[in-house]
Amino acid sequence: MQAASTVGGGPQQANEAPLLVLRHVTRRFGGVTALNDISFAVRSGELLGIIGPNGAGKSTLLSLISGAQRVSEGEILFAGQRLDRLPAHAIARLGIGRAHQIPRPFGRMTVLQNVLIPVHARRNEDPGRRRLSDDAEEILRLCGLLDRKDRQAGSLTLLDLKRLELARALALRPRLLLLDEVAAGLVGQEIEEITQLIASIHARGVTIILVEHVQAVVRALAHRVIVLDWGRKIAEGRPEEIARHPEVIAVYLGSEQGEQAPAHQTMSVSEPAAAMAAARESDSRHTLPSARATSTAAVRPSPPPLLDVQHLSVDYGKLRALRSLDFSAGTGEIVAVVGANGAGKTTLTQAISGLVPVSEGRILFAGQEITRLPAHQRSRLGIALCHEGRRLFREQTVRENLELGAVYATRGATTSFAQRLERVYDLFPVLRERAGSQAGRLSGGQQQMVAIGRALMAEPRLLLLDELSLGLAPAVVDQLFAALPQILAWGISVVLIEQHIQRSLAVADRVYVLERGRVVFCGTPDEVRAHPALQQAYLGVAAAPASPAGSPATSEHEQHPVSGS
Amino acid sequence: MVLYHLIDGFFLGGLYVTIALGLTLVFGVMNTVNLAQGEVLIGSAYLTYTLASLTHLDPLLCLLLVAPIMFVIGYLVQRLLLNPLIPRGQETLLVATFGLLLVAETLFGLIYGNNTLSLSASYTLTGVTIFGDTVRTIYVIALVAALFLVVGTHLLLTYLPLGKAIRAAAEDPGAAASIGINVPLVYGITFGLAAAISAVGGTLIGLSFGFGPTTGSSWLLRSFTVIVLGGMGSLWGTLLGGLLIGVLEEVAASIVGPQFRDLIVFAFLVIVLIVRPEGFFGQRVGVAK
Repeated sequence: MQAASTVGGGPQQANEAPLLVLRHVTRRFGGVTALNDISFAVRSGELLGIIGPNGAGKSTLLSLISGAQRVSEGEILFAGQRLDRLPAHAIARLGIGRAHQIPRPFGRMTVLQNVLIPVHARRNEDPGRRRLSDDAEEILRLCGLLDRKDRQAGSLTLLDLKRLELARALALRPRLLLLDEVAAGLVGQEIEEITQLIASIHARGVTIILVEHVQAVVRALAHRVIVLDWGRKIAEGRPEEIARHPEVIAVYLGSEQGEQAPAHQTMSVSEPAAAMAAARESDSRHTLPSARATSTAAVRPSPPPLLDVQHLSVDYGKLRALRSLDFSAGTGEIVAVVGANGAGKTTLTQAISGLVPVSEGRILFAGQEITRLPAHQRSRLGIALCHEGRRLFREQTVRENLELGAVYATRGATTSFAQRLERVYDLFPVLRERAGSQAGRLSGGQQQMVAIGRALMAEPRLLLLDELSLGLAPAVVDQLFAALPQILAWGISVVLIEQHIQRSLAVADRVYVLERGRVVFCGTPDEVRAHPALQQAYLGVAAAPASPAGSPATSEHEQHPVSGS
Repeated sequence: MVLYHLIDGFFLGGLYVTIALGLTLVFGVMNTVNLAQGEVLIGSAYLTYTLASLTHLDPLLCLLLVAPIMFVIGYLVQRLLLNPLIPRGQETLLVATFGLLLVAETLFGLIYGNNTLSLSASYTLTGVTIFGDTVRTIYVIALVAALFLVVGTHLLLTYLPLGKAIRAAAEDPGAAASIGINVPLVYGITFGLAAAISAVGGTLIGLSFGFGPTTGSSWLLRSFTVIVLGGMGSLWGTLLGGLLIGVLEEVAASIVGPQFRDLIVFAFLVIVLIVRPEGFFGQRVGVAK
């Protein structure tokens, strides 16, 4: 898109001192190091992208710059001045604005009033006699909200709310603008519109740091990208370099080393040529990425599936997290769900288990409609959820956690409590030893075992594993994966969400690829490996061909990820 | 002399424990401050008053009926009014309980008039001598009741299946629901239990002091001071917090004068909030300990 060329075309002021400098910045929360020794500089007029998976520390980084949180070590300089000791409002007045992922305007006020408040609050300017409302209107014109200036902010669409969030940040007339996932929750054309808006703000001379999951936005806008993973800076470079960077690909898609997937199955994702060839081959079979079309082909199990999700939509306020999504899991299957952050994986498991309300669509389990059933009744029907982050009852012992899993959820169970307990202890022997320990005191891997055990104690028919191995050491991950065949052998179907994509593909019968709340592809692991949808979903670029930034690929792929041929 | 005040305060503290326990339970499990706690206490006192004047039974004996009635009322209020509001957030719940406070005050005034009432029994005006100090019999009863209630609640939460479900729902309602625990039911029972426990506190208030339609709020403040001091939502913290407030109030009142009782207590609350906002004995969340 032309946005990239507009902003990228300007001369790089190479000789000027950097506007923002971070030197060895470290941030700890208790024993956890959220950011570790981060150093970089931002030139005046630059547009810097920051990407990275969940928990990488991106939002923390913005919070340190804006003063919402304090650095533990290191220093931050803005135009030569130390920032890291100043309170947040002083930093804002120096000219650092921040737009948040979730807009929080004053809903009862008009759009114009919302922008006037920060205009009035502004103090970093010389008091000219220009009327403030003129100023506010000009900002609204830039943001495309002028014709809606008298509307109540609460009645705006999500896209307009995002525009308003940007307008409010601009009203402080910042020199540096921090954008925290402003494209989150937007789709299709909306993303291009917000991208253009950011580009035109940048064209007015505002330096921008952009934290974003929607890779299309980063690729279209950023001059330079920094990649964070677990608080470390792992790569830095131009967007197209980053998309080919082996360590970055490894972070998003998993790599061969450290993942013990069988060698013949692990097609190297870092070999674009092979991927492209395979993609072309498979395109003859999958011309459309429609999940229904694909899944009704040979891959869908012929008997009625145990779980059948039809046209499911879920909303969080104005943000639509799942969009008319179709999903099924058959008896005895392992179904993997993959997709980048914010794709809707966790929302899907929570909707299936009844923890978030469904806006549209139906959920059938074992032939029974459960769309409106409360969570505890679904659990009694045989749906067990192993939550992301485990969510154990930390004060209670391992044994008590396992008991709680069984006491309330057991429907006409075929096994006794003692049998099931024995089964879980055999699956994870360490739990037998630690039965009397407080669950919160165990190691992360042992806690995950308790969480799985607690879910299994209900003798479920369907086990939803949300982020099976997140944050765990490789040896522990091996143990958890080794338990899967045994779980299947008990007649339990598994829906698996797993950040190690290759591991996930290695065990799955079928794979769904999610992108922004939609199923963009569904097929067997081999089909998914061969298909560009996977890289598309994680890296925002299909198979990373050596194309210059701003090539048609970035605008084309929006809703039609299949552009490989 | 100081010893006498220490002993007096210790037993008065027992009474404070019984009035704060319901607030602790609701906060520990539902993370909500029930602003109508004072009215739950005073309402129980009125119920006991009615029952005692009808049957001429001992007020404490009336509790056998009043506590179950309060359980049912508490359960219904939670299920029908508060549970549906939970998705709308903490502020909505706070406002709802504040609304309950106003409704209850008005009802008390309409039914019982604005006069100050009190409960009477053979032991309300007698005393017991302990270490040479004469302590009101009713305070001794209150301390015994406080110990029974705290230990009983602890045993219930620790050993009974219901208690384990309550602790699970307190710690993570989402995780509890996904292992089959009916969280709204658990919340209803918890609120009912808190109301039943408060029936004991309310009846003891009626026996020790006077009460009128609007005296509830001052008891709410005192309960709140106790549970902040003890660490919000902690059972043992409530026990220690109650006893400490009782002692502090008696000793300080003897030094600077009894008219400053409230000032002393709330000044202490402010200091605690500044110095150690998590309280002194707290487990931060959950009745889990």
